[in-house]
Amino acid sequence: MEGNKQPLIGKKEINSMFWRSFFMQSSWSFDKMMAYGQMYAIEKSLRKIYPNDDDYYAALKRHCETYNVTPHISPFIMGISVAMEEENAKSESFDVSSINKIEVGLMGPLSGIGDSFFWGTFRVIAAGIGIGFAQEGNVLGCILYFVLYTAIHFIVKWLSAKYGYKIGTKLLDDSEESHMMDKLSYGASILGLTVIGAMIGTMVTLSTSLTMNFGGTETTLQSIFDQIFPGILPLGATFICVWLFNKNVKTIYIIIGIFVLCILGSMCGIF
Amino acid sequence: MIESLLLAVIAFLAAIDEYTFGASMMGRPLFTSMFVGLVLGDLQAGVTIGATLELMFMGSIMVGSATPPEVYASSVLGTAIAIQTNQGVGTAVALALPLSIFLQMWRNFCYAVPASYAGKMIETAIDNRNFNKAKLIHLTTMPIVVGIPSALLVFFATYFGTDAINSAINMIPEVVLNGFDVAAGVLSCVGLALLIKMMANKKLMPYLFIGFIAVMYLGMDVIGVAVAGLCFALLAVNQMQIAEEEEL
Repeated sequence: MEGNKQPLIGKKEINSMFWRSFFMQSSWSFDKMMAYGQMYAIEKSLRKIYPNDDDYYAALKRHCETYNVTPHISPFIMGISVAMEEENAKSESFDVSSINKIEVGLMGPLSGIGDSFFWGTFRVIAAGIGIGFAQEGNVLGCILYFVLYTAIHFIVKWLSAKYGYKIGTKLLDDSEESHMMDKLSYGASILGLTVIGAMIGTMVTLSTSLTMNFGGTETTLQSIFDQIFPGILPLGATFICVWLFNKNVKTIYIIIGIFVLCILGSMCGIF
Repeated sequence: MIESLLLAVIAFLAAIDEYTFGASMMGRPLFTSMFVGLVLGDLQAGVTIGATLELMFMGSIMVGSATPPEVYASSVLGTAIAIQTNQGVGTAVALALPLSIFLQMWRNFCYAVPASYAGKMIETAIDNRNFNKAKLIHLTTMPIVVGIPSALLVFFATYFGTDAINSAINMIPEVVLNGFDVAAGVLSCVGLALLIKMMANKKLMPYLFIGFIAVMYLGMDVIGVAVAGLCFALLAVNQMQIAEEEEL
């Protein structure tokens, strides 16, 4: 393995990762989000890394964990995951759980940047230019909008596919120093959990419209929550789910339960 | 008939853009209106209406897991009605709006129940060592559960008129609509709970609360929290190094 080693993952696998990443959200769900899209996109690389069926299916199963990122830059994390899978195949002592931890640690920050760039800034600029022409009935507006957006979309996606794996392998080559992977995985857990905490605050929304009567003055219960502990409802809902998962309640029952509770709650005027 | 079928095809492709074309924004009104105009023989009107709709729906994007009103199929319908009836965009939007709200509700339902069930099927296929089956389920879930119903609605609305569909949609009680809205806001907590369970390490839980508090009390955004999280991670990892050296 020493000397001028050829990277295991070549152009063919990277190309497959790039094209398959377009189908990222094809089975998006509230519980697993884009997990299967990620699994599908890196499947070719996993096959190459694990010629043995046992390891290959174990790796696919590993990528069934909840995962979500801006689709436009998704190949970047895929490349890093593939580099870690490759390291796992090579070294006995590799901690497999660090692969998921690092993915989760990276997905928050990258989605923050990716979402605001692609959905926010860039789409608005491209649409703004297009609308200018289109308002006068000029077809050029539609075409310009599409070409501009697609060009940047393809370029960024291509670059993230190209460099994700390179950066991943380089990072792991540098990490041959003792306990480096342990440190990386520990650090990624901290980063991941901090970002998950932030995502509970930004992604989960729940508030009550109940009102209470204190000595003649009408107050909404939500305003009291906001004063004492804002966001207690989203946080509470999340931890009830964690508790239910720890009790091995099936995901589908939790989801249906949420629907039923929300509809009942809105009937009783709680929400 | 052929016009309605073609419009349904456009609506289908627009509806699945987010899922199977990597959110290429091809499904947005500014682009689809061009094809609707072509199908109905008035390209210029289509493009102008598309520009107006695009401006209206500018803020309607899918970030994280928040679901905005459905833009794609309902814009195709809105543009088509505006061209057919020649009544201006306002009327068209008013007619397409119930459909938009209904389709949004439908999407939220799809993310929750059918897609979650498809996920179970994918995992079973992987357990049975059948990647091709898992792949097939992954690729077809959203086109089937979101794409085809959206296309059918556009087909029926343009072929039979919007009245029948809108009165059917208006029969859905307000509380159910409201309940679905609330559920759509809460449901992301299921995915996050799965992540927390996966990362489970009781000693590290305070970091989760730091992240949460930073957003709720300090009003930071996710990028800011991520940078702070990175600093915590580096500090903790450095600390770890010292512990090891002491052991030696």
